[in-house]
This record gives sequence, structure tokens and C-alpha cells, in this order.
Amino acid sequence: MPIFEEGMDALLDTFIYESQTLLESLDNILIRTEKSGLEHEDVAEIFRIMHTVKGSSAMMGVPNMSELAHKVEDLFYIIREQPQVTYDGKTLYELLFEASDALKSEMEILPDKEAKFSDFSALEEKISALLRQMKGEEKEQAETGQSEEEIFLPTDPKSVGAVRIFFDESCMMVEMRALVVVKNLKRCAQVMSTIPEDLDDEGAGDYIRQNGLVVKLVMEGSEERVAQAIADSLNVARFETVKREETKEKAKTEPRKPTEQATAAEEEKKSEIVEKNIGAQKKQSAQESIIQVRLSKLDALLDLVSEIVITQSAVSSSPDIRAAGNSLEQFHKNERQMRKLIDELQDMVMSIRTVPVSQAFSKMNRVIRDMNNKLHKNVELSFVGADTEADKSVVDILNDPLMHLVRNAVDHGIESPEERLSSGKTEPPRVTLAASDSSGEVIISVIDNGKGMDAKEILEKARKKGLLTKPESEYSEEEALSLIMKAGFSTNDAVTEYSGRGVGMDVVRSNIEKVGGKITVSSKVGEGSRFDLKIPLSLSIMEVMGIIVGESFFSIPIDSIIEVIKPKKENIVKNNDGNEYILVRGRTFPVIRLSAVYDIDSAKSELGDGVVILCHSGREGVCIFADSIDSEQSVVVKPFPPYLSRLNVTDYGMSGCSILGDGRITIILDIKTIMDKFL
Amino acid sequence: MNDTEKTNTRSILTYEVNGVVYAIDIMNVIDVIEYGKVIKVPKMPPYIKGVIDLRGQVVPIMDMRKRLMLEEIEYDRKTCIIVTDFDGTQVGIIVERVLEVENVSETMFEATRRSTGYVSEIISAKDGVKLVPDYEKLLG
Repeated sequence: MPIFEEGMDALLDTFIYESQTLLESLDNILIRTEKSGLEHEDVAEIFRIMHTVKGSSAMMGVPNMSELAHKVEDLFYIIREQPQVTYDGKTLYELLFEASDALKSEMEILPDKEAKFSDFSALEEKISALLRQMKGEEKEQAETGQSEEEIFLPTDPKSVGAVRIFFDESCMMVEMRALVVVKNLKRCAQVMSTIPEDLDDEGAGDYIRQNGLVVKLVMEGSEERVAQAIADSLNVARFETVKREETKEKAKTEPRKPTEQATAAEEEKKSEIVEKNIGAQKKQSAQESIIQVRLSKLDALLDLVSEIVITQSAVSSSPDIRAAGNSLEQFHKNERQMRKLIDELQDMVMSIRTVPVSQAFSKMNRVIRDMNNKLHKNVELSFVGADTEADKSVVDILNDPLMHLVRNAVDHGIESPEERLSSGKTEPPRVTLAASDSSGEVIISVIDNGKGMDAKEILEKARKKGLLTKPESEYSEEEALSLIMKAGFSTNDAVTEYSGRGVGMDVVRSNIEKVGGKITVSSKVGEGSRFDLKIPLSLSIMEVMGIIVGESFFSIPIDSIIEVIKPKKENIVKNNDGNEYILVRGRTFPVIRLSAVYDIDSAKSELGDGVVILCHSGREGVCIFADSIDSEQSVVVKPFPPYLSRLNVTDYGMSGCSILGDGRITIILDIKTIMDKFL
Repeated sequence: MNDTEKTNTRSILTYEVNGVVYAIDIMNVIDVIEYGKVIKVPKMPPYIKGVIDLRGQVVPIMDMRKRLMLEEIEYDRKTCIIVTDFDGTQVGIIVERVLEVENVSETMFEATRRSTGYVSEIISAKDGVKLVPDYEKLLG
């Protein structure tokens, strides 16, 4: 039972966050190197990750995680120290992914006080088996004398020899004894290096216990003293001189000066080590200049900034100020400065919160890899626009939906290799994740080039399950396709590990709608399917112009407004179908009367009596007719409650609403959608 | 009968629309507020009156009379809005009178076969019949 000591609870969050980050980067390394092979830095990085997880989980009092991490660390210690050791790559990677998953899932149950620590002994045993196999190879090598190759360089002069020292089995602090022996040896001979290199290292003790401590030193002339020094050291069980093969002597006959070479090589190695240390230090200091912040604090910060924006707006547009007219020059000057600062503050807070969506996308690599292993469909995953940035809270929401959609695409959308072949598809099966942003929304798409969905089939299935709420013929293609997201729809006859239990997509959709977003489906039979998630950028603060139409209060984003005009009669053109146009500086724009398109009363009817706001979307323009202008404000735009977005309120040109400082609610208009819908 | 058996009770709020008494489980009620200004949202179905600002949140408001296809009447100071919450979705409903909160034992709820009028259960109590609508269908 994970009951942590007092005070540990607070550390738990940090531990989980840091470990999760480490395990994620571990996954990325594993996925990459599974295909491309392990480079030295990869090995070192994996070792470091396991070492850190081992230590921090031990400190947190989570022994099973610590032991498991220790075992993996052992594996990589060997791989690091003996780069030529052979092992079955497939087995290794299976174990590594299994270990990574085990550690990740353990962290998920940690916060639950009732949960018990999981038992990892089965996995640990598998790792131990692999370890034994790898070490067994080593021992073989030691016996066949192959290890001489690593200990001795061809350029080592004859005087250089090596001893292998074994310590008592009962010896506790083997590393300490080793250090003492080396120190003693240094007093009587020139010690060049040791294997293992770093006696301070954690794994060194274990290694020495298994393989002995090898010390490379200038032996010639000092054999007796060396032997004495070793014999004098505590806990030494036995030692042997490592034989060098005669053939190695040949290299010495080359004209190059071997000792210089040797020292040069050593120098290089030293500087490499120094560089590595600097690099490590740099990494650490770069890491130190990053701090973790709870997202909830950033939420509170953003709320506060929003309040400030609204309040500042209320102050500036207060009727008292307006009444004083132009005589408050100093006030207005200060007010403009304050506005500027608040704008900067707002930008800064928003930028703190934005992260690239690649954070969510890259998690899908693992999903695809696992599914390819199981289903053998060889699906490629590609990203478009992964560096599109969105608010962290939005990117966080994406994980579950993406996982569901990607799994569905691979499981149901993509056909088996045989099916693809027989239907003449030559391109490799692919799932594409695309991201883009436009007018306050982030659009994430999951596209597959699989077999697509048949709207008719879906309607049929939905009818059989009693999910239809209106006659079949009244369903548009999009509505029909959307039925797959209804609760209870996808209870496949064969429930696979990944899908078909009928609880996935409806939850996905409601979660997206909860934040004011929308999922739409489109598909072409035989070509593939596409899911689009539209998520409004949460809490966007924008400057708007308020307009009054009858009793309603709308706002138009300032960015969309070109100018406000009071048209003259001669510039107004009315067509025989009743539609109106206005001529402005040589260009003619259509007029949209909000009272007409929204079925609301307006006070003014003559275009010349009200106000006309000339707006644009892209290069097109439109004139919006209203009774009067209210004021310019900075507002915090909130998406409509999901209840209304399901009733397609956004399709009619209303993008969100906002509560002003004075308590009034205004509906924000989106000019592009208005033009699409009403022109 | 031995009354030491423990039966489950549910707390319900009763309200009136056009003289008919309905009930809603207290668990689904966030707030009951006076009927006030509702901001109209264009192009919505006629039973959606608009939205209100409830402590900084924008809440959609449904007119129960319109939903039940009754003619509109003038609302007075007894008219209330019951702010409901079902699974995180909040909708306010305009009702003519809010009556009271009471505990009713589970056994008093009887399911009804009739599928029209949005009713799913009926409570036949001594002080009158209370209809319990299927809120999922009612609120859409």
C-alpha cells in the first residue's frame, strides 16, 4: 500500500512528473533505436534514465519500481562497458518496452492510497535471464582470452601489462577495496587505466564481483612490487596477470612512436571525458533554468489577467470618462500606457501556456508501433504542422481522442496487406495527424488512407441498434457518418483489444464538446476517412466592437473591421431580389442585415439611419448593418456551452460569447462564417 | 408491517408547469434563481430562450412551456429558473413555480410505459401525482 510518509505526498507529484517525462523520452529513444540501432550516447542516456528512476523511486519508498529500474540499469551497464556483447535485439526491446510500460502504469496507481504495489518479479526474472546470458558470453570471452583485445592497445609498449584481481565473496564494499588496491598499485607502478573505468560508478561493484578488477599498468620491472601491493590489500581473493598475445608485439615495429601515441590517445580520452562532463554540466544548468509550474496556477494567472483586461476596459469606457470628453489628456496618455502593458502581460501569459501539439502527436508513435507489432499492417504515421502551438490545456485534452481515433483508424480503417493488394492500393497504409490554427480555433485532423466508411451501412447498423432519432432518409451523409460516435454503436462482433466495446467514441466526443469543440467526420469508401477536431483556443482575449441590433448586443472582432460608415443614399444599391449593396471608394460590397438573418427586431430600418460596419474576411468584404455602435472593448471570449454548439450555433456566425465588466452578455460574431452562411 | 426495513430515499425538487407537477432529483440541481434577463441567441430552436450569466458561466436556458408545446404566458415574480446539471452539461429550465424539496422513497417511483410527453416515471404520493420526466430526452 503506497502510504507515504508525511511530506512525501508533496514530493509525489514532482516524482511522478519527472519520472513520466524521463520514461517518455526513454520510449522515444527506444522507438528510434529499435530500427536504427543503439549508439553510444543512446546507451548512456538509457542508463542515466534508469539510474535516475531507480534512485528517485527508492527515495519515494517505491521498492518495486526501484528494483525493476535497477535490473534494466544492470543490462545497460553491461552494454555500455562491453559494447561488443551480443544479445537478441528483439528480446531486449520487448523487455525494455515491457519495463517502461510497467513503470508508467505503476505511477498511475501511486496516488491511490488503497492500491498495492504491483509485482514485477516475472518481468525481473526475464531480465535476469537476459543478463545471465549476456554475462555468460562475457565470461566465455574472458576465458577465450578475447578480452585482451580491449585491455591492450596494439600500440602499448611491451612494458605494459595488466592484472585481474578478484575479491572475497564476502567483501561488502568491493568498490572501496578496489579503490584502495589501485591506490596501492599507483605507489609502486604507473597505473594506466582500470576496467571498469569509473570505480565510483554504481554498477562498478557488481561488475567487479562478477568479472574481477582489471588494472592496466606498466609492469616491467615492478612485477614483484605489484604482487606485493595486491597481496597487502584487504579482501583480495586472488589475482592473475592478464596474458598478452605475442602477435600484438608486431605493432610495435612500426616507425611511429608508440608511447607517444598511447599518451596521445589518453589525452584524447581525457579531453573527451572533460567535454562530456562540461556537456553534462551544461545540460544540467540548462535544465536548472526551467521550473515546473502547476497548470492550475497558470489557469488562475490567466483568469486574473482576463479580469484585469475586462476591468481596464470598463475603466476606459466608463461613461464618466466619456462625459469628460477631451479634457483628460494626461489620463488618456496614462491609460494608453496601461493598455500597452496589459497587452504585453496578456501575450506573455498566453505564450507561457502554449506548447506545440507535437507533444500529443509524438505519443502516438508508441501506439502505432505496438499496433503494427500485433496487427502486422505496417502502418506509417506522419505528422503535418506538428509545431502548431496551442494552449497546454487544449493539448492535454488531445491525448485520449487521438489515441481512440488512431487506434480506430488502424484497427478498422486500414485494411490488411492482402486486402490492400487485392484492391489495387499501392501506397503504404498511412495515418496522418495534421494540425493548423485559424481564427481562434485549433484544428486537429486524423486522416487514414484505408477503406473508408459507407454511410448506408452505418445507417443500417444504427437502425438495427435502435439508435436513430429520425427517419433514415432525413440523415445527411455527415450526420450518418457521425452516428459511429453514438454510445452503443460500435459493439463489434469481435471485440478486439483496441476497440469495439462501444464506450470509446461517444466519450471522446463529449469530452471535446465540453471544452466547446466539435468533431466532424468525412469519408470516401475505398479511399479513407477523416476526423476533424475543432477546439477553440481557450480563453482568447480579443478586442471587439460592440454593436446594437434591437435588443441584442453583438460584438465584432476589431481585426475584422475595416471601417464604420454612414452610407449616402446615392451609394446604396438595391437589387430586385431585395438584396442590398453599398459602394465604398470604388468597390461594392453586399449588405447583411443582422435583424433579417437572425430574425430579431431592429430599431432602424433605413441603412442611412443606422450604422454600417464594413468588415472583411480575407480579401472579401461585407457590410453589416446595425442600429448603433456600443463601444470598443477587450473581452475574454468563452466558447458557447456544448449544449448550444451541438445545436450548430457556430454555423450561424456566432463564435462565442463574453460577459463584460458591466455584466452584459455579448455574442461574438465571426465574419467569415456569416459570409459563408448568409451570402 | 415491520417498518424497520431500510428503504432508499431520494431527494427531489418539485415544480409546476401549466398546473402540472413535475419532479427532478436534487442531485441534478445546481441552483434555483429568479427569472431575469435572458440574452437571446439567434437561430436556436424556439424552446431555447437564450443564455444567462451564472457566476461567470454562460448557461443555456430552456423554456419548459415552449418545450412542451404550450402557448407562452407572461412570467411573473414567482417564475424561476432551475439550473440543472446532467453529466457536466448545464441547462436552466424556466418553470412557473418551484414547490418544495422532499424525500421520497425509491419504491414510490414507478416507471411508465407511455413514451410521449417525456415522462419516464410517476410518483403517486398522497399529496398528489408528480411526473418525473426523462431529462435526457427532455433537455436533448
